[in-house]
Amino acid sequence: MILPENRLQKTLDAALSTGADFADVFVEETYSSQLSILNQKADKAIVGTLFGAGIRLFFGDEIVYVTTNDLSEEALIKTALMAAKARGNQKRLAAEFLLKNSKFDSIHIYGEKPWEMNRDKKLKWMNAIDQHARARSSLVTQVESTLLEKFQKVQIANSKGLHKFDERAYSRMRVDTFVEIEGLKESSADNEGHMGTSELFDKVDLKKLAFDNVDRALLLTKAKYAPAGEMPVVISNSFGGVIFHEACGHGLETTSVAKNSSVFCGKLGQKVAHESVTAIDDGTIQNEWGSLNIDDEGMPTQRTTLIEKGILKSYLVDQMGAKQTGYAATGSGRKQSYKFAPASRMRNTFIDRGSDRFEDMVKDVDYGLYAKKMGGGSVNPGTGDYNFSVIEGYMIRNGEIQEAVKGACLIGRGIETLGNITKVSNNLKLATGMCGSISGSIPAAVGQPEILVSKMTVGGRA
Amino acid sequence: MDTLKNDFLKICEVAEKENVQVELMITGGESLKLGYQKRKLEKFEASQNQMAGFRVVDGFTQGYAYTENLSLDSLKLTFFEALKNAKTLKDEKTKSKIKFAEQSKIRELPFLNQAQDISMDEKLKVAATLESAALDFDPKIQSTPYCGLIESNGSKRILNSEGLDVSYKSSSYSGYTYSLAKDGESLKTNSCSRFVRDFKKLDAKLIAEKSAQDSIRALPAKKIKTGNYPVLIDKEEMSSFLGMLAPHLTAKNVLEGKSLLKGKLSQKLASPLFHLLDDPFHESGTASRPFDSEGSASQKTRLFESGTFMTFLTDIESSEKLGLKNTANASRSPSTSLDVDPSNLVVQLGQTTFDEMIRKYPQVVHITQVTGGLHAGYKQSTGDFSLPCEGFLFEFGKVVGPVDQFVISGNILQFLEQIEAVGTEYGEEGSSYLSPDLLIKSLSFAGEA
Repeated sequence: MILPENRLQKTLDAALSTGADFADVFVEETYSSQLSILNQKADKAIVGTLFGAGIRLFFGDEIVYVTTNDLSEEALIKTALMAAKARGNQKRLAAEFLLKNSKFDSIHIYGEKPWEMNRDKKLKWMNAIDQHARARSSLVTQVESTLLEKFQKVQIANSKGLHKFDERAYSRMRVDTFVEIEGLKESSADNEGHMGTSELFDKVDLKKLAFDNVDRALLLTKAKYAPAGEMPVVISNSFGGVIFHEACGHGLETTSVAKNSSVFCGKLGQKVAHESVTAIDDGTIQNEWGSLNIDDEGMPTQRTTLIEKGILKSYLVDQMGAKQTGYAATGSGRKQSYKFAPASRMRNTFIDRGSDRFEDMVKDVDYGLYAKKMGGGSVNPGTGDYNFSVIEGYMIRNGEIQEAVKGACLIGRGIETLGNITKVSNNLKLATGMCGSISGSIPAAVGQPEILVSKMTVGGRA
Repeated sequence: MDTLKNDFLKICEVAEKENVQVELMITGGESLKLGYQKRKLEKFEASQNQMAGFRVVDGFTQGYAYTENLSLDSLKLTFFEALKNAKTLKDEKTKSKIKFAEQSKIRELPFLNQAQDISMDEKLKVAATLESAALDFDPKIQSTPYCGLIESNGSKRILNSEGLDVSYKSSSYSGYTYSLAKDGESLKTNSCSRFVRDFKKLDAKLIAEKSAQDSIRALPAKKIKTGNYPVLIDKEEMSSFLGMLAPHLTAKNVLEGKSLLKGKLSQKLASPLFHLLDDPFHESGTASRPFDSEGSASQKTRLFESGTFMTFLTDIESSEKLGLKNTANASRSPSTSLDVDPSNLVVQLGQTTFDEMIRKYPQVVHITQVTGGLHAGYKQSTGDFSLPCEGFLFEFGKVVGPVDQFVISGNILQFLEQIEAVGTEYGEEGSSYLSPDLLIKSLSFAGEA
């Protein structure tokens, strides 16, 4: 526990003093560490702590959110009163309550905390990546490996008597490799990580991570630019799931739905995708990148079926979203830190297994693109227009995967693309990503089996 | 009493015993965010923040640590964490000692902090107008998914064990509206934002109505045929292209082998019409500041003159390693390590009007929105970009109509070579990237067959 219960009780009582109908307080203590190796030597070492609280009040549909770095009783009460007076001008309306401390019980397994683990062990992993990459090819000009670790302790209490505590550990290794052939430079980057502590990297095949990264960069030096225009696209599993994250996921968050600013508004129960598509948002997978025990509003996380055989089944709902739309909350209130008010966000979001075979998808394509590795993307939830980049792509001709191409970007409209997914394989894999939105940057896993999209606009060179 | 300075001097005594140098960066501030939805206040967010970040130099290496707790005990613990980090990086192969900035004459920038006492009612009124003026503009405006007012007050102070102590305060207001317009089954969003230092200059009605007008004007958009087109990049969208160029301008990226401009000093790389300045004193710039993140006094730096690349942006370490002048472009926050970044990148105004540009070719596409963001369509190591965009097709100087669902592709260095004309005025949004409209000879478009 970060703060004593009676301090939170007094803070919430102060917050409710002018007529708010709900209040919660989110207290956070987060240790972060970044260690990196560049040019075969340790380059950066940064550690630090975030320590603060966010107090949120509901006055009907209005949200007041205030933050402070000072967690003394006096400062918290002062901050709560400032929030209360910002909008309220009545006497207390909310019912009396007593906080009920719940036992902390994690479904995730953590090893040594980031500050407990010997730093030489961490440097050894990063040096190994550097050495493997340089051993793979003499054309490697630079390798940068970075280990990011975060250990977040949170305490959440609200005016319905909820009082919960949680710990979230995140570890992620990023590798950037640069190669050069006759003045032509290329690079490749990759990540490996989980919700958990860094002992993961004892198990990860660091040699494969380094080799794959070098091979991809070398491949790109020989690749020609992708063609431009509309064509069928086979998208690989794992990070290929970013397409669903962008094309659909953001539009299902009540953050957009409640404002009537999503193309998925009013479509519950309707067909929004091809019948081969079932999509899930699941926060309960042990130690998965986007998993939780509780969300940032204190609600237990859950597995939510978003789309079942093409039919829209659920939105992603936070507490304010539930109040505004009438849908039940799905444990989806998330945020980067106490500095942000929570909003409905994704956790581990993926298209579920289908029954098609990857080989058959490729055979179906006379002329198209195989997007083997995807990069970042973005979406406009209001119009459903999305885009994302293809890091590693190949042309498909007459049902066969052929030469590598670079510089491709895929764009489209969410609902149109969901309708154009005609095949889904059973080879489901998830991958780590950072998702940015109004409540900050949060860990969110994306995933899917391989899929075939019958028509997409490929941004390459005309 | 300057408690912070006293505490820092105590830490300097510890640092001296440890035979290391120490630098402390303190940032603090308050911000207020107000936003309306469906004509009701939806967002009222007030935050206060403070953070202290240490940089400890142990001869040839440096370590960092930060905290949000500014008590002396916490600062001491954080100093020792930074010291431990510096020792972790100990590397006998490094040859040059890291130096700190010395106290020098800092130019005052009074425009940065125009302290104003604005009542909450006035701020709420502006925030409400940022939504209502868009909704009232036309029934086609379905909603304003994002809109609001942000008030920011911040401070920055840097002290180091060589005696440097510099600080400044800044304040600003930002108003923004994203309007979602619907016409039949066609949907379109467009945004407008303004950054000002003087609250009275924030015209909420103008922001909201421009956002609404631009959204409606883009309806109903058609796809454009795949091919190559001359392109007029709108001045308010040039930030994407200057953002692609920015990392290549820094000496740190030259030293790390990441800059495409390495080895190209004094070469003619861009159109002779292209002049680029790094200007930390520009009043419309959001990145204006009197000193950089090492405490070195800010200065203007000419980066391109008539298309010739003049110099890299540097901090103390990279300037010494490359034998260049220190341009005072060190950049970091208390929680990050030292980097080199531009302040405000400013493209010099040219002499060609918008009307003259769209008449230069039989067909010109005016790009009014780069919709994706660089993380999804730009590869820094090669300079290649593929960016989804929206805009208007012009034929023989007359608008044919809005176009969308296309991707423009090219390379940022070739983009600079292909500048055919430079516009006569800057946008009004306020940004750290300031540019007039640019006419580009040809870019590749992926659209419909």
